[in-house]
Formats: sequence, C-alpha cells, structure tokens
Amino acid sequence: MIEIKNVNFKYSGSDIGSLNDINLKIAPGECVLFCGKSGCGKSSIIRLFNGMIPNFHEGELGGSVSCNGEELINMPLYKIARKFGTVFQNPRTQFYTVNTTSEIAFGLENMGVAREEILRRVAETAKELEIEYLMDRSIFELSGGEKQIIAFASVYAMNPDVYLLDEPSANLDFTAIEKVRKILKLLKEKGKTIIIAEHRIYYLRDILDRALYLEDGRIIREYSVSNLDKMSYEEHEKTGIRMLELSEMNYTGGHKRNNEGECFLTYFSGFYGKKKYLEIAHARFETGKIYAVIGNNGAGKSTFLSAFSGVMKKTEGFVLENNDVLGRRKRLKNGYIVMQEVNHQLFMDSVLDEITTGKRDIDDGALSNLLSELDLAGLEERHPMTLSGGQKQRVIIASARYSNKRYLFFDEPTSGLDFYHMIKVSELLKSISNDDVYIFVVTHDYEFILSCCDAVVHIENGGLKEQYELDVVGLNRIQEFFLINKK
Amino acid sequence: MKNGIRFDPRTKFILLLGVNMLLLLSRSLFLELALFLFCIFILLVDKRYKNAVIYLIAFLLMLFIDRFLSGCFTGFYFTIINFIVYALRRFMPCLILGKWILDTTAVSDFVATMWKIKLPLTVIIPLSVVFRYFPTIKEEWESIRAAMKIRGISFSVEHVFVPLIFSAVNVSEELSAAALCRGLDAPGEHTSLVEIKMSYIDYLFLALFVSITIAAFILKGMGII
Repeated sequence: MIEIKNVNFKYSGSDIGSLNDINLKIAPGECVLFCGKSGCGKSSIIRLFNGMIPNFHEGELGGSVSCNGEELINMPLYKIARKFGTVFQNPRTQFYTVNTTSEIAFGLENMGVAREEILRRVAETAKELEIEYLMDRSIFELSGGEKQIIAFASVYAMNPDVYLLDEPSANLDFTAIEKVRKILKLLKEKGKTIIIAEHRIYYLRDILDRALYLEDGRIIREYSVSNLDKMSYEEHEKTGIRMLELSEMNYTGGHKRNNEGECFLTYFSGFYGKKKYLEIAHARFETGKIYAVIGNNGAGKSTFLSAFSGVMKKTEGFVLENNDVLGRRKRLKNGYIVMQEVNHQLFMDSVLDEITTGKRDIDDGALSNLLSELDLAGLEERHPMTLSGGQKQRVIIASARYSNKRYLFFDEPTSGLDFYHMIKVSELLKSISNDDVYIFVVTHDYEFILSCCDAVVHIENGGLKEQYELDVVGLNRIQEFFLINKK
Repeated sequence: MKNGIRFDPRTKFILLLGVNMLLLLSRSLFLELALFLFCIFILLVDKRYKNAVIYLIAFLLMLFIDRFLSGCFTGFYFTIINFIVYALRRFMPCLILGKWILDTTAVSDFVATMWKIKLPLTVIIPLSVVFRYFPTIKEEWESIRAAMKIRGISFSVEHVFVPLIFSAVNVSEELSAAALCRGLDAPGEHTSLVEIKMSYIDYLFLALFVSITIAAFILKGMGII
C-alpha cells in the first residue's frame, strides 16, 4: 500500500506550489493514471514517488509519502530504486551506458548482484519482453521506440514492485506504443503496481483501474474507466484528457479554402551518400491543404521532409510549381521545417529578433498582425528560451511566416501534448492554411489528424505508398492504418 | 573487438604510460626501435595485421627521410619537414597504443575498470557521463546545424553554442536522474557484467615490458644508449 498524506511541494525559486494538499492511497497491483494539462503537477507526483523530489529537485516539501508503512521522504535514492522503477519520457536521455546489454545490467550492477545472477536476469528479461534481437547493440543505432523498450527492460531486470512511468509514449510512434501496451499488460498480470503520468491514454484501456485529474497541483477529480469512456468532446477539450477510445474522435478537418497553388514531384529521389533512401515517381500537392505524412518508423517520413525542404544535399528528379523547377536552393529558401525538438531551432536573444532574424527593415503592420494571430503579442522582448514549449513552437512558426516561407513542414508538432493544446495546434495550422502555403505534418497522432488534416501522404519503404483525401473512404483507410475498430 | 586476444584494460593503460615514460629516457634510435617493435608485436598478437603493416611502412618511411634524405637535401623547408617527421616518429609508439586502446576497449570496459580499481564515486560518475555524452553531442550538433540551414543562419559560435549548451544542461540533468533512479549512488560494492581479469597474456606482456625497461636502464647506465 502506497500512501501520500497532506503533501505540499514548492520548487525552489518558484512562488506557487507545484503540489497542493495531495492525499491518496494506491493498493498493490493497481494501475493509476495521473492526467491533466501540461504543468498540472503530474510529473511532480512521479518525482515524489521515486525520490527525485526532494533529493534531486530541491524545494519546500511537507507531508508524508509511505510505502508499506515505511517513510519514503529522506530515504536515500538507491534504497527507493529497489522498490520503485522509473521509465522517463525522453528515450534519448535515459541511458547511462552505450550498449543495450550493459544498460539492462546497469541497475543490477549498482545493487551489487553477482555476475552470474546478472547474466541470468538479463537473459530472462530479454526473453520475457521478447527483445532478444536488441541485445548487445549500440544504443545509438536504435529507434526511439526500441530505446524506450530498453528503458523498460533495464527497470524490469531490477524487478521493482512499483513501476513509475512519466509520459512513456510521448515520443513514440503507433507501433512502439503497441509494444509498450504489451509490456504493461505483462506487468499488470504479474501483479505490479503501475503509476503513470500521461496524456495519450488509449493504449491503457485494458490496464487502467482509475485516473486522477490534476489542476494547479491539486487532485480535483477521480475518473473510473467508464467515466472516461463517456466523456463528451467538450469535456475532452476542457480537461485536456485525450480519448480513451480513438474511434470516438470525430472528423473536423476538410474545410474548403480558396487557394489555388499546386506543385508536383516527378521521379523525385533523395540520397544519403550514394544510397537512395527515397523515391517518389509522381505526386501532386495543393496549397491550403494540411497533409498528414504517416508511415511506420524508418519508412522514410523524415527523409521525405528533408529531401523536399532542400536540407538533404543530394536529390534527383524535379519539384515543379507553376511551370518552374524548384531546385534545392530555391526549396531551402521557400521551405521551413518546424522540428520536434524546438530548443534546437531558437538562436536569437529576443522573440522579436527570432522572428525577423535580426533584419533591420521591419514591416510593422505584418509583424503585429502575425504576433496577434499567433498569440505572441507582448512577448517581443522575452528571451525565446524562457518561453513555454507551445510558445516556442509558435515563435518558430512566426519566423517562418514572416520570411514568407511557403512550404511548411512540421515534425510531430503534437507529441506530448494534451487534448486542449493539441486542438490549439490544429486550429493554428487551420488558420495558417488560409494563406497560400503548403503544409505537411509528419505525425503519429490520430486525434490530431482527424481534428485538422485534409489529406494523407502514406510513406512506406522509402516510397509513396498511397495518397488520399480524408473523405469517407479516406477516413476508413486511416482508421485501418491505426487499427481502430469501427463502430 | 570480438576476435583477437582480450587484454585487461589495466594492462593497456600501464603499457601506454610505461612506453611513454621510457621514450623520455633516451633519444637513442635503438630504444625507439625496441619500443616501436614492441607495439607492433602487441598489434600482431591482437590480430590487427593491417594496422601493423601500415604503421611499419610509415615508420620506415619516416626513418628513411630522417636518416638518408637529410644527407641529400638542405634548406629551410626540408628542415621543417624533417622536424615534423622526426617528432611524429618519436610519437609513433604512443599513437599506436592510444589508437589500439580506443579501438579495443568498450565504454563499459572503461567503467568496469574504474569500479575495479576502486576509484572514488566522484571520479567515476562524471567520467562515465562524459563518455556517454560524446555521441549525444554529435546527434544534437547535427540537429542544430540542420535547423540553422533551414533558417538560413550562417555559422557563428553564438548561434551554435547557445542551443547546444541549453541541450547539454537538459540532457545531463535527465541522464543523471535516470541513473540515480536505478541506484547509481548506492554506497556498497558495485558488480559488473563485464569481467575484468588479468590473464596469462597480460602477465606475459607486462613481463616483456619490464625486461625492456630493465635492459634500457642497464644500457643507459653503461653509457651505450
């Protein structure tokens, strides 16, 4: 039995409490979800359990956290680590070693387990999680999904009673999420307690016992699985909780716009070195449409983005627009990729400079329109790195629009967003699409596709598998791709 | 890394250090040759034939320039070339051993060795995070360069390092959190999946090196080298 009593926590340097009057009990073997909008305090709850609060993230902490009657606050981290295993959000940064096998052994090594026993446990973990094919590989050659599975394995090998998961699916594609679902099922069958902070919840359907909803660091509501099932669209939008049943999502894209630009790809291919990674015989795209670029991991979606936008050095074939051939340099000048890692794309020391790229002759009218359209008015002098994730994303979009880029590519703009902020992004894209621009969005987010995309570009094995409008037939196809049972 | 003979990382470091120190003992060609051949012998035993041949040819070529061509040419440029060639040649044993250690030692071997020789936690943890962080910097760097290209921002120190430093802070924080949550700070004994053990080959080469050292000192004492 895990129990939290009257816990209050404030990060040092912050004026407002991140956790307020938290009281709860979690029974062994239970799966409890903490949900709520970004910044609601759900990650802080996870940190409270694994001892990161107060050992790593310092601040003012009051109250008690106990596990089977033993007080956890002020227990050394390595003792907590034997009972509580944590899987974090970012697959790129939770590895201590550079090799998969040593990574899985890492926790056991720290516990001082004998070498033979480590070997046995590592082999057992690989077998039970069905990842023998990933053993003894360099971490850096794995996909994000595979990395996340290794993160699970490294905790699994330590055999903790409680699994703490901090947005484990945020950076994963659809197939990787299916694997996580399978692992969670196994853990549940083994009677492990699972505590999870997460936005995307459809994959937790058969595992979840109840959900606690947080707002401003307070638990304000408890949902049962059937409560979550019965939520209306408005409630989803208001609470930011995503769909438990993806088939409930209605299509709200497909607006008619009066844009007329069109462009073609003809025998277009992209190379890394001498090897061809992408080949598209023919494709046609229109301005004013939002294209969802889908496909499995490694299918070539990122290659499509980088070849089309001109970032890739070597391409063959043609991109045509209004009888003009757009060479690489022209595409680079007209194209813009909004990357998933927004921090890598901010270079200047004020929002204003970031948007105008330090240009002197500022078009005041256009700028203020853009700022108010993107909800950035009043932030001109702020340092971009001090903004929230959503604001950073909008600054990058603003800079693309200010320099009149007409080919906009987005790489997973809604990964790790709650329903409310996801809808915000989709509304933003809809409003940009009223201008004469091409919009391509690489995404694994079904709810997002249905909320704003107009057509689908399905990439497979480095080629264009199919391209379709999201009409009745198209909606069936996209549901098939995401393995959604139609009602 | 799989074929060849596995040396204990401790042996590798002792040899690297020892060969370097011994090189400082004397400028004699005889000692240099002995140490060079010793390094080549290690490579041969470790079945790195291609490397051994390349080093051998390079060494002979540099020796040829120093010993024979300097009789035929003079002048400013040749002196510079000759100086560089000489310095490079003197460093050959270190280069060979250094490259060999990098090629044959996995990061996990390094870390396991550090635990084995009981370095304090305050040394092991930062060092192993550094090993882990290098490949990550490369990934981050590439991503930032791509972002600059898209923005049409030309290369400048500030534009690269600001995002790089922000990402470094984030990455190292998340990295440490993940490691601590798996008990890195445990005070007791840490075991290792990698077995660090001296074998006959280690003793053999250490003995060989010790004999070279003794011989060198005796010859030096006699004034021969």
